[in-house]
Amino acid sequence: MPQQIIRAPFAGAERTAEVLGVSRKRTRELILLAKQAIEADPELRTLRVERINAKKKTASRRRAKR
Amino acid sequence: MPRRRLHRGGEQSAKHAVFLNIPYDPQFTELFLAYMVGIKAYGLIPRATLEIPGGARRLDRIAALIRSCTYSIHDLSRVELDPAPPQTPRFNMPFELGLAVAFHWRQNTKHTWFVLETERWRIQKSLSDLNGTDVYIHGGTPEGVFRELTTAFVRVTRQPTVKQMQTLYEKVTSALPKLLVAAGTDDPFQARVFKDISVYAGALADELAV
Repeated sequence: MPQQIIRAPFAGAERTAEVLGVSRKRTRELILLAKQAIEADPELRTLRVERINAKKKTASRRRAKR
Repeated sequence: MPRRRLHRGGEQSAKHAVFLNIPYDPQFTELFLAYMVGIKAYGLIPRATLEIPGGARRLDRIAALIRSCTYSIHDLSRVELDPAPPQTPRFNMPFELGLAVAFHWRQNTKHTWFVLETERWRIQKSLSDLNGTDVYIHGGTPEGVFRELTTAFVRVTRQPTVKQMQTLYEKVTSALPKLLVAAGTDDPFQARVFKDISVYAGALADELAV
């Protein structure tokens, strides 16, 4: 069975914080702020759903190819 | 519990790093945010001299920072004289562009640099040594910056649309006052604010960019 790569939800933001030397506490606060901004905006929620669906579609295509 | 390892040391972070060479003045705030958002939307990490504290070895640190990045963006829009007396042009940006070009030659194309300007043809007068080089013209608007980044970063894996970047930009712009208050400043060109914008825009991009 091929190895599955599981990506952390905010891996990009956490990697950025690590490179720039932002504390873990501040990183969590900023991620929370971003989550709140998305939750408060219906357009952003739709965008997030579109992104998740696009990823699912790609994953199912990959599985079908195997 | 051991801390999760997110990337493979400096090599991985350098692969994703973009040196951002822009003017640090209030009139440039919109474009500064546009660059930050654009870079994060591509899954890359912005780096800037804002992170470097003053001191005798500042130039060494700037050179090391540029050398550590795979890409660099040089916005040469501000060719006007600084209004504060004594009136002088700003040489920092073309100087740092020169360093980036030198590293590009020395490292055998491991460093890729992009030049952006507001006005078409002006650079042929202000920096004619670059004649024959593709200069990206953003027209002084965030939309223009996003449009030009899509051309510059055509080889990057993540490919956000201009609309996605605009959505992220609006969110980052509305969060900026909070980030400034947290840093106890009204100047977005501070190291702390720069880092907060990077992480915040990164979190939004992780959730929204395809």
